[in-house]
Amino acid sequence: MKNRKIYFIIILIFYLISMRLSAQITYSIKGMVRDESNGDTLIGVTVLLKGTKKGIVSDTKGNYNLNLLPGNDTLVFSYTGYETKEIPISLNGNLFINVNLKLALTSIEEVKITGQRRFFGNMEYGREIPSINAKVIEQQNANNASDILHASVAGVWATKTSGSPGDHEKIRIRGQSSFFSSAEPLYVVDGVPVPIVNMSSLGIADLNIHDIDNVTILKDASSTALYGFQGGNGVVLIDTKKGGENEISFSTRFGIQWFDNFYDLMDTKDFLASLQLAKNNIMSRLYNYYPKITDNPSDDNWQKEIFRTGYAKEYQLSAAGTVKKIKYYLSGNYTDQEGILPNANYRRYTFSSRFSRVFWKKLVIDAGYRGSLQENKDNQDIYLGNPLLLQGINKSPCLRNTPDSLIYDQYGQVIKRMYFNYGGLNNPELPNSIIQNNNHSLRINSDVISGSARLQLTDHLSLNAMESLMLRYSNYDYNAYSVIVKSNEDVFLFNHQYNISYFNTFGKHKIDLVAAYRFYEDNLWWKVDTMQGQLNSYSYLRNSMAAYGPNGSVLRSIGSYVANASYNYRETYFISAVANLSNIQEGLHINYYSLFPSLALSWNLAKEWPFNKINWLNNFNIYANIGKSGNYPLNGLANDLYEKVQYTFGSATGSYPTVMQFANHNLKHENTDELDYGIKTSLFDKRILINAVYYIKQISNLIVQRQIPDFYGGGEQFVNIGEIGVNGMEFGIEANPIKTENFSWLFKFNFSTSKQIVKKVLDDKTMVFGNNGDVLMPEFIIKEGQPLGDIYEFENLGKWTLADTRAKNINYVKSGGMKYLNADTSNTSLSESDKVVVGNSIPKCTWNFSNTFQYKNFSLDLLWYAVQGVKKYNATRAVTFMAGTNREINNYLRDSLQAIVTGNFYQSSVFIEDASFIRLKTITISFESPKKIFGRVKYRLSLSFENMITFTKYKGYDPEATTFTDNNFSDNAIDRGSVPNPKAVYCTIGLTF
Amino acid sequence: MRMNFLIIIPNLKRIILFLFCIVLFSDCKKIMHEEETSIGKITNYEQLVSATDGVYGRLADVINSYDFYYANVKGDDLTFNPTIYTDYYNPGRDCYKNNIFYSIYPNVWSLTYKVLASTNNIVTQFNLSSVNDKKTKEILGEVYFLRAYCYFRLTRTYGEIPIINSIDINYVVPKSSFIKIYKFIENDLILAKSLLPLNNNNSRIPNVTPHRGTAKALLSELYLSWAGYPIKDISKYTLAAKEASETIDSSSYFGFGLVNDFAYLWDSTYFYNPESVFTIFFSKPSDNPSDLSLLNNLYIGSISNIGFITAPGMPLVNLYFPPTEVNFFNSYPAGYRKDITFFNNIYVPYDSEIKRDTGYFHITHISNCNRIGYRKIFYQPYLLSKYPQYYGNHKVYILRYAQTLLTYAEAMSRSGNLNAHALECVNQIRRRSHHLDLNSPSVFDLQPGLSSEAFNDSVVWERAWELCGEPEGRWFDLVRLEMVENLPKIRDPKEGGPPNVFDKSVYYFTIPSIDTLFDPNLRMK
Repeated sequence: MKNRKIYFIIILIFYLISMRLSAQITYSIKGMVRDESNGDTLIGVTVLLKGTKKGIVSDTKGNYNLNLLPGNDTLVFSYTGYETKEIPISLNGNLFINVNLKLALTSIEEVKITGQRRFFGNMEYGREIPSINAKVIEQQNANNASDILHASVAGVWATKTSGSPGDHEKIRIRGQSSFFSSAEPLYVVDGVPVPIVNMSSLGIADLNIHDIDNVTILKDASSTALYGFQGGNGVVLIDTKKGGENEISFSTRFGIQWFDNFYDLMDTKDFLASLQLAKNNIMSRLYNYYPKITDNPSDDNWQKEIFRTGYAKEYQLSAAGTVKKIKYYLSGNYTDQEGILPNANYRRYTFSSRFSRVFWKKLVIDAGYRGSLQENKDNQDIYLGNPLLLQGINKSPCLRNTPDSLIYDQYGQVIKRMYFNYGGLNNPELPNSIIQNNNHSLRINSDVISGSARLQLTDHLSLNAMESLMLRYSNYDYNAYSVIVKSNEDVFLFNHQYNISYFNTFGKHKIDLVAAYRFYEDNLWWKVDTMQGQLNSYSYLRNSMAAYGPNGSVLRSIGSYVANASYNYRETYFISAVANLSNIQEGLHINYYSLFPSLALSWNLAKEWPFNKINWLNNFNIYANIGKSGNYPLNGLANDLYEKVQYTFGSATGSYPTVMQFANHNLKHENTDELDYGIKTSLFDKRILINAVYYIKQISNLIVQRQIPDFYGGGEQFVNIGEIGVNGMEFGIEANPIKTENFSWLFKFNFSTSKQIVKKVLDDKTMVFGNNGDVLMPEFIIKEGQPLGDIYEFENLGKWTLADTRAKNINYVKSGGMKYLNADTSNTSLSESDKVVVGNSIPKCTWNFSNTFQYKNFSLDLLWYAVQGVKKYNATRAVTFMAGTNREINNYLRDSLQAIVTGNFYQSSVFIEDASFIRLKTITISFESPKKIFGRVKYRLSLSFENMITFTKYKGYDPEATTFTDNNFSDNAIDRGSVPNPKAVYCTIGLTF
Repeated sequence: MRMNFLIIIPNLKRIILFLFCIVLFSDCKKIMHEEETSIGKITNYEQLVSATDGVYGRLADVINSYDFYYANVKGDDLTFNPTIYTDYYNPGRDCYKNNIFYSIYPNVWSLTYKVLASTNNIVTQFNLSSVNDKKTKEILGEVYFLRAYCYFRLTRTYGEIPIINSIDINYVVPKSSFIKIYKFIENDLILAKSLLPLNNNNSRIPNVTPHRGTAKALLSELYLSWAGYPIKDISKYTLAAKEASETIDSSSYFGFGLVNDFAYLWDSTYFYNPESVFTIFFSKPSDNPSDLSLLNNLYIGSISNIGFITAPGMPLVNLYFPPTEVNFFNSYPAGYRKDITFFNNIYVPYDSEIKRDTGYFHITHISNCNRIGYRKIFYQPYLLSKYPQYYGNHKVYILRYAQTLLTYAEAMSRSGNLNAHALECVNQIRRRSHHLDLNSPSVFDLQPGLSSEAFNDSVVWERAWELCGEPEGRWFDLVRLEMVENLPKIRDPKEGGPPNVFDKSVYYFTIPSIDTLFDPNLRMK
């Protein structure tokens, strides 16, 4: 025994000496690189010997193998999106080191290539593809999955259009890309594209935010070409968590929401004084039938009755780990939000599970189920604005015990309830009775089953398959004022995709090839089951497909053949080309192919002389890309409309379906062509990242409604006629200026602009979208050469003065005591042709600015968000004028009361307000336990404040809220009983076992 | 950390596998919404039947539209009186002028093209060449027949029109020439003839849907028209005679024949009768109020606008339905047929409520009114039913066997083949008009040896009287024989008279302005 030991030592010494003598001896260092959080092997990790250029990239299994000379060295493991890890080695024999890389906490580098993007191959070269990781998502305190996009990346204009619980964000990527078709981006959740244009979608509200692993945004046509017919508005790719590290975590969140930015409305005393003033000075018809102060009238501020403090709570439990080689992730979530309007309530139950296993080290099978139930009760956010808000705000303060602000004629007949007799609002009901009389409920059931398989044929060649199915059933019940509507919408989505991918490195050449096939089918049915009473626009939930007719369906399928090739030389020259040949079939008539190509080039100057001499310049990419993408609307526009016709063949009467109107059987997608130039640079050890892009988009074949000649049976069809040009720039900077052991400061600033110019419209070159006599709706104009989103109203120039009368200037015209611009001087009265462009509803620029300060285990996040250069029609304020309760009207009562009772006034620039704002979206203070308590539990506490500070000139409740959410370039311009975004405080406690 | 509760995983795997099987092996669309998805698609026989039935419904809408008779009203069997028609509600309903008002509200134009849209939709979805099934072919025959009738009516109302036979919308479609249009119709009818069931017994709904004989009868009308204005291809008289003759020769096989009594034509007991060649039905053969008629908006206006005589001798007020021109009425040979066709006595309500069964009416002789010549069958639904709003027994003859007999006689004569059979055909109708036995010679018969001009003249007048006020009647004869210009001469001056300029421009209506907006080619040059 002893001999053997001695013998061994001798041999070893001899061996070491001989090794020393022979300079040629090298040892190998092998190992595998994994993601620390989920154990995924990482492909393409750069392993470098520090201080040299010697290194290697991990292969497709995550293995690396380096042959090095013996000695003390340091290996540097770096991978985009992960923290770089340095491992000191003292090499005196073959080593086997497995390395786990940690996801960069507040990543300032681009994030790893994930999920769907990996499926279609490498898209990174020459394109700007931002990504948001789970950590950032958790910090955001989002209520709805779409909130994640609110202020994270450049080029995304996100609007929380309503403060109602459960409502989703309206997202516009790189400007408004359509006249009338949906401009919402496509959401792709784990490979399943989710259509947005229906009530059941409510975006991606069925997703539990905690299940989201990462969100990637494809902004330019060059990258959205992958999604062809669906990609034109941008694509938001969402990957859910797959499990990995053994962990059980529980978190709970409580929140309080409130709203306090009220209109300054008159109290009873002032209100009666104002009536008296009107009577005395101006309006002889006003007789003494309004309440007097001696009647002891009540004094209510109805705004306080229609808003309340709402509570929110959320419980989240998840477990992840590996059992019997099966990697699992299970998660359940319950969310309950009350919102700030009475009776409303939003509840969401979600369950998610995901399992995967590796077979024979080559085949990875993954399957999962995700289900959710959403119940949205008495959220009265319906088609034409929230009725409670609109009706509540027009009440006089003394309504409770005295007659309303009725205006009587000399015979005692009511001639006006309010100053302006607006049909829809002329309702003497008390707000609490309105609450009781409006019953809505929306239930959405969503089930997603998905699975994927990946077979690694060789080190370089792999096969992938992915299948998903989504079913959504939603029921909407409306019951108000004896109108009962029960409707439902069902969605069935089916997606399967296969690819073969090849990845290899030949010296300095790196090649990535993918050929993929994707088949996608989305089927929508909607039906109004019960209908009692007159169905009106108030009975539709906003975004309801029922607006397209009581029954309908869209049955559509898309098959895409995608080829993607990317190549780089020396990590300096990059080229990537994508071709997507897609076929779309819808209904009976639509069946055509279209090619969506894309090309991107990039050049990393930092690797070239003389820039490679600059130490602090890590990367300096200049790039350009060009691509084509499309947007085929999901409204069933190519479906012929049928109606039932009755006939008797001399016997019983039957009703038979016949064509009511033909659709355009040659309808095509709206086509986007885009050209981008940009730079991407990282400086000072990648502590500063700067991004700048200039893009030019040409969106043609825009769909416009057009009358059908009677000789084809009449009606209206949709034709591809319009064209808009969009251009803009994006600038983003992320920096980590301070990074010490205990303290770090990260900031991120994104700025983007967009400008959309109408290039082509139908025949007569101008389209005016009238308000159909509804004075609480603005009008719009679409004219060639002019910006999209122009609001078209009378230009109010203040009060008409004696001087104006004397001057007899034909440029101005008097109406209701007010002075308006007489744009059409052919007549001297105020007519429709006198309307002019008074503002634009699409913002010129948006920016966001986030700061993260970290001190030891405390962190403070501040997120600012701004939208600028946008105007909005404030119909809610107009209602307070009509009702005579807004304090502002006292200015008019003295000499121009007529203004308030004249319709033109409400269609004038008086109510077109600047809706630009800068908002402190969130402040979050959080604390993470430094070490486990009881040996196994880690905890996290956070306190977050929302919408606490807003700088705006807007006179309404909320410059961000709008009545309509989708489908139209004009949506952003209308605040008509829109529910404002509340202020809120959330407190989160998280425990991890 | 080990988690024992996850032992359920194998089960979950099984569950997921099971769910996948469901997904992959079942057609979810079918499970979910078979009914909704089928609307619009015509893939099987039942859907084809349903869609074709809808075409009849569309055609019924045309005939039910207020301006369906506007073409006919330009004639003398029906006429319009500007003093009555130019009223507050209907300013300038002057059918003689191609007035703007009319072309703005083109009901018949758009409704007829809606029928055509439905037929085009069917024949596009069913490519005839790929159909082998006999029943399917038969029903496609119906569709071609209906399309042919619609174009026939349209071209005689509007002249040169665009022919639409596709369902893909084109904003600029040239007007087709008359020859092209007639050939198109001929083509459809010949196709229909070959596809349709052999006779009435075999037709899809006996007595209702067309069969081969129906197509032949309409074809003979087409040829007759073709031989006259505007094409004036007199060789077509031979073809008209041939089709009509074949129809008449096989009349018992086809199930056609004259009813013995002229009154039976509008009698609910004979609701289905062999004289109907093609008829549009609006109700069951019943007076039962539960058999709600489809005529909500009768061509004579809504029920409150019928404008019955308010009192004996008082002028007619707002009587929308066109009367017969006075001279035409006076020259109409007295006898049984005239009594059946026109009112002798008229029901006059004591007040505006029409409640005949409760005795609100009294009867007065027509001579007490300032206007004569009201055609009974227009008012029959209101007057003969116990419940005016809910009347049964309403139908509109598009084509009657009597017309086929007269077409045969005229075509034979004009093609120089006048014979005893042709004479007999006319005489049968003349005998019936006096309530005599159809087959026994009578004093009213036309005698052999008549010159062909005299014979033609007699036949044309016989058509005018027999088909008085019927949609395919007098006006189209006036047009094809270019007799419209004579109208002012034979018209009673009291009628207000047609305009002085009375030339070919009144033959056709202008194409509605709404369509000429899209396609300037459609404007009258």
